[in-house]
Amino acid sequence: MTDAADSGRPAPRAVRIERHGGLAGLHIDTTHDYASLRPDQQEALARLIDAKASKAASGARAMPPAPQPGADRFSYRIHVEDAAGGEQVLEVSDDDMPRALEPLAKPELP
Amino acid sequence: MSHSDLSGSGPNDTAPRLAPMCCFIIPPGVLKKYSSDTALDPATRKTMQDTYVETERLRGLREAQRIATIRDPERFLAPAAPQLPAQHLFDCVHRKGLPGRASAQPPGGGFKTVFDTTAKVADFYKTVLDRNSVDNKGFDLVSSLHYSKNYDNAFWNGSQMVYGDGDGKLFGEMYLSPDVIGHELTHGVTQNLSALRYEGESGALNESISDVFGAVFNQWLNQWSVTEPRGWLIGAGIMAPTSQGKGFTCLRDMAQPSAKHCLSPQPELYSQIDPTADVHDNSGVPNKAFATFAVAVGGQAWSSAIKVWYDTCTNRALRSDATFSEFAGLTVASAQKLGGAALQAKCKSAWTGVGVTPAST
Repeated sequence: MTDAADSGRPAPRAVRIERHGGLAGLHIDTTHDYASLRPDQQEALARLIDAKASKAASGARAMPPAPQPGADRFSYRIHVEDAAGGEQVLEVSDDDMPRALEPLAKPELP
Repeated sequence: MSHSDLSGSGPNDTAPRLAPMCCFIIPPGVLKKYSSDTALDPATRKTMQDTYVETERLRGLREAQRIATIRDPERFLAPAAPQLPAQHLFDCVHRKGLPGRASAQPPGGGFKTVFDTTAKVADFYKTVLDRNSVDNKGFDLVSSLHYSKNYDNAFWNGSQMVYGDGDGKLFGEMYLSPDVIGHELTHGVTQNLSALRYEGESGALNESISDVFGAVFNQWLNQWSVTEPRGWLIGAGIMAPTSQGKGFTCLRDMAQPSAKHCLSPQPELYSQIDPTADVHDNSGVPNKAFATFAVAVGGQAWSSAIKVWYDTCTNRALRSDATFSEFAGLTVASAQKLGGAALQAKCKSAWTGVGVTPAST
């Protein structure tokens, strides 16, 4: 794992997760204080950020992920806000969404 | 002898080669003669003798097969296509890798439910619509259960069905509604037919078709007529006690898409939809058109109404980027083809009732 200090990135402050799709078609949009995330969730998030950084460093064009095959899949957009006011947005497919982060995007009953 | 024993193509090949006794190019009479020729060494005579015996054994088998073919010709024809497609079940053990660990079929519990219901969906397609599995060629049906942890979803991943266990609050096990299994399998059917693009109006039609065939499968399973309100609910069986306690009895209601008992209410009129919304939001409009049409026809939806929709789904004129209006136009043409002017009028009326003008075909 590469944490924010190791990578030179500002520490995350808040994490906003949007979930779309699924059989039920319920839209989720929740924001969490980064400090409230469990260590395994912070690690999973760091790995997603690292993966995006590696892709960018390799020269791959920043394009949205290809549509997932099939139907009724979830898709996620994760906004990571840092203390300096910056934000990076991660587009994550259902397949690539770490299991540890899924509970952060659970729907609430109206 | 395995197939690999007979292969080998390069100088480095180390596979065993064929024994000399298998070279049948030598006439049997010659083999027989030399097998008793004392001028040859004993090892060569033994090889000739073994080869002769094997040649005669195979000749006997060929003759026996020829006679059997004459007496019982059907036995030697290509096997008929299976009545129902084969099934394969997997256990994801709460991880996300697919398909997961192979499961005995069906060991019981959720696996038995999925196995039995999937078989009934396949039977519905075969019996009602004369379709053999998703590709009409007997494609094996694969289902994975216990996907991820507390996973509130079921999906078709392009080649198989996948079911989560739900979180126990909003949803229970996602395979507990027969219409959900019918819904997911129907995504495989659509993929093999029009391949409706999963965005915009074509995506909403893709979703609606899965709801329509899933719901009518459930009606067929329960022998419900079109007037039974439960027959139009999607996901009634997966609602967990907490959801039910708040008055939610289903995900969607095809007859009343915007009703309060729907956990995921939808617009009912074309004028109300947001073209950029999720495909599950906008599917309420074609859902209601079908439910209205089926109720107008009366009786059992699998007797007539579903056949109109299926005729459209199998129509090569249905493009992958079809709009509501284009799909509606094709259903009106199918209704005319299958039931004449009376059925056509009911179909057209159902579409105009939700604000969609069927395109001319």
